[in-house]
Amino acid sequence: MVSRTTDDYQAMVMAGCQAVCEPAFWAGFDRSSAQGFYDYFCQLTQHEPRRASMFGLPHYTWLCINPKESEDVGLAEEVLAIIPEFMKSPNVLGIGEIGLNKNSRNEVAVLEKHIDLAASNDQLILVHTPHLEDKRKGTRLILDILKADSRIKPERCIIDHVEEHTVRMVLDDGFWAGMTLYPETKCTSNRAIDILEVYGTERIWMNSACDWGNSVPLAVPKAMQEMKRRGKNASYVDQVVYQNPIAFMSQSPRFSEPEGV
Amino acid sequence: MADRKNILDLYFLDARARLIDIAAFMDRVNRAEGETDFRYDQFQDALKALESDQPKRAENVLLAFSDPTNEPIPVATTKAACGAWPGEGNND
Repeated sequence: MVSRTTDDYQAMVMAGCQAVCEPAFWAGFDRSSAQGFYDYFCQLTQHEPRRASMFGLPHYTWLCINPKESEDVGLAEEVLAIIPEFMKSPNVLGIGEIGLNKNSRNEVAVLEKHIDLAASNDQLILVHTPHLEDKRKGTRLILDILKADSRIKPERCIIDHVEEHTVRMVLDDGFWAGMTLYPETKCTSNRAIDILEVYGTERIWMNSACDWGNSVPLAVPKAMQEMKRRGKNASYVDQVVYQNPIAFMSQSPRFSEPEGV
Repeated sequence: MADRKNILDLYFLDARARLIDIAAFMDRVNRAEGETDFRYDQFQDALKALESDQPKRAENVLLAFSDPTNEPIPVATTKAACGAWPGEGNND
C-alpha cells in the first residue's frame, strides 16, 4: 500500500488480513509524465509486493491511468502503451481502477481505451465510480459503456464504491459490487451492512481504503464486528469478507487462494 | 428479520447524536451572515426524504444531491466533487 507505513501492514496482519489488493490510483497530485507512471507501476509490481511480504502478506495489484488524470488523452495514451509490459508481472490481476471522475467526454474516451485493453488481454476489470454528486450519473455511464462491449463479461468486472443509489443498477446488470468503507465519504460500515441486508450477499463485497487521505485500513475487520453485533453468524461474515473476494479474484490465473491461519 | 427494539438498542444514541449535529449545523447557518448557495438548497431538499415512511430514505438523500443529467460534460474543469450538484454548465 504505497500510501501507508509498515505499521498498517502489521495491524492488518494482526487483524487477520490474508492478502492485500491495491489498484493504481491518483497520488493526490497529477503525475507529470508517462515516466512517472512507469515508476509507479514498478512500485506496484516490485517494491510494494516485497514490502508486504515482510509481513507475510501476498500483494496483488491492478494497472491503469486513473480517472482524475484522464482529461489529458495524450498522456493517457502514452500510459496505456506502457501497461502491457507490466501485465506480465506475477501480482497483476487486471486493469483498474478505471472509471470516471467528473463524467467528461475525455474521461469516457480513456475509459473505453482501458476497456479495450482489458478485453484484448482477457483481464479482470476494477472500476472506480465518481464521488458524491457525480456518482449516480457516472455509474450509469460506466455500466452502459461496459455493456456496449460484447467481449466484456459482467461477472469479471467489479464496480467499486457503490452506495444506496447505485448498488441496484450494478447488481441488476450482472456486475460485482464493491462497498468501500471510509470514515466520512463513500460508505460507512453500518450502511454497508444495511445494503447487504437489502440486496443479499451475492456478487458483493466490502473493502477498506488505504490511501493518502482520511481512511482506515482496518475498516473491514471493524465491519465484521458490527455484523456480529447485528446477529450475523460466522458463515455470513466469512461469505462477505473472505469467500466473495476470493471467488472474484480467483478468476485471474495470477491469484492464489491464501493458506489461511 | 431484525427486531426493531434491538436496532434501537444498538443505534438510537448514535443516531440521536447525529441528528443533534445536523440541527446544530442548521442553527450555525442561520446565525451566520450572507447568502447560502445550492448546497444548502439541496440539503433542505434532502431532509424531506426523511419524512417518508418507506425504507428508501438513504437512497433518496443521495439522489437529492446527485447530478440528474445523463450525458458526459464537455470538459472536466475541476477534479473535486463538492457534495451537491451545482447545475448544468456550473462544474467549476
